[in-house]
Amino acid sequence: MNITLNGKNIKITQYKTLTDFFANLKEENSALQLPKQFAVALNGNFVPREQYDKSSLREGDELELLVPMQGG
Amino acid sequence: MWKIADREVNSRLLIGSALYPSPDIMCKAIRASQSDIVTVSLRRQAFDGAAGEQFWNLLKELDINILPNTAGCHSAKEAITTAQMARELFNTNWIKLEVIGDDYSLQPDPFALLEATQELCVQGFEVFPYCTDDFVLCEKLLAAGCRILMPWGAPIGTGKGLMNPYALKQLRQRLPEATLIVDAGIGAPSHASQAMELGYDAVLLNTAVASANKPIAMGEAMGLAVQAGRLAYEAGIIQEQETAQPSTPTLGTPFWHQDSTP
Repeated sequence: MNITLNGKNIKITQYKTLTDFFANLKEENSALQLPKQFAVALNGNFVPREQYDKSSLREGDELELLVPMQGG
Repeated sequence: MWKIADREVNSRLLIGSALYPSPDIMCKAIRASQSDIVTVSLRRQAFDGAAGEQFWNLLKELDINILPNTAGCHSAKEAITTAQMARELFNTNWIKLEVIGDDYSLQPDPFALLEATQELCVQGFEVFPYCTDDFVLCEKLLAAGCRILMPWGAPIGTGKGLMNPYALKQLRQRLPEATLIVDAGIGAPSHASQAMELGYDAVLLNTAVASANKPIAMGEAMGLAVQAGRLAYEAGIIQEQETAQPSTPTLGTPFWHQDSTP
């Protein structure tokens, strides 16, 4: 299925949960490594860490994976 | 020491972490400023590197309070989602709330800012709203649950200093209980000092230090300027006079001066 990850369209295997997807991120998209510290939004809504096990990905989903960055 | 939200800190300077020539200079400039609070952001993980992790390690080394921002957000919804992500990522309920309404001036959208503030206060955030110096807006932000307000001195990155000292002074006089921080527009240490002399509790700046020829030296200068301005405010600045007043006592003036008096 197709999803958008950080603005980039990627084709991935169907996973039951976000936890499963993150565990296989390297295989799904070798260009993006799973960072140690990150936060997630799915279709514009924040997904808390404890919800990764209960959240699934669907065709066309927009996933944002944000990391700490410099800011003013 | 002074209290900002629920924490005690020494410095009245809040400093940004962006735009420095290198991560090393960033760390040294922040240390030289003696700031206890650094602003940070959240961005997409790059597909070609681990910049986020490197920055995270630098933050740990600095070991100071982190104030995440919602820079780049243009709606209440975006800002709320970003704030929620920041709370988890940086393990803090502090959020520098930025909702931009005009890309040319980077002026905050007061309506979206208030909407996001109301929701985030309900969710337990300590909101540091980046706002204009509009009194009515500031009053509504306080009513929504803010303890801190951060009116702009001038548009972000302009270095123009305090464009409307009158409005900033009015805010200080009319909102004595609020923690007021001038955020954005500071260019020179004298601007930071001026804000502190008005009775502002702190100053937040980034570009003025990061883009200086010598960011480390400018960090130190800004820290000292904020200290000087605060000391001056506490000492009590004299009232302006329209006419000259001799500072040297006139009593005992030598006779040859008296001779020349008409």
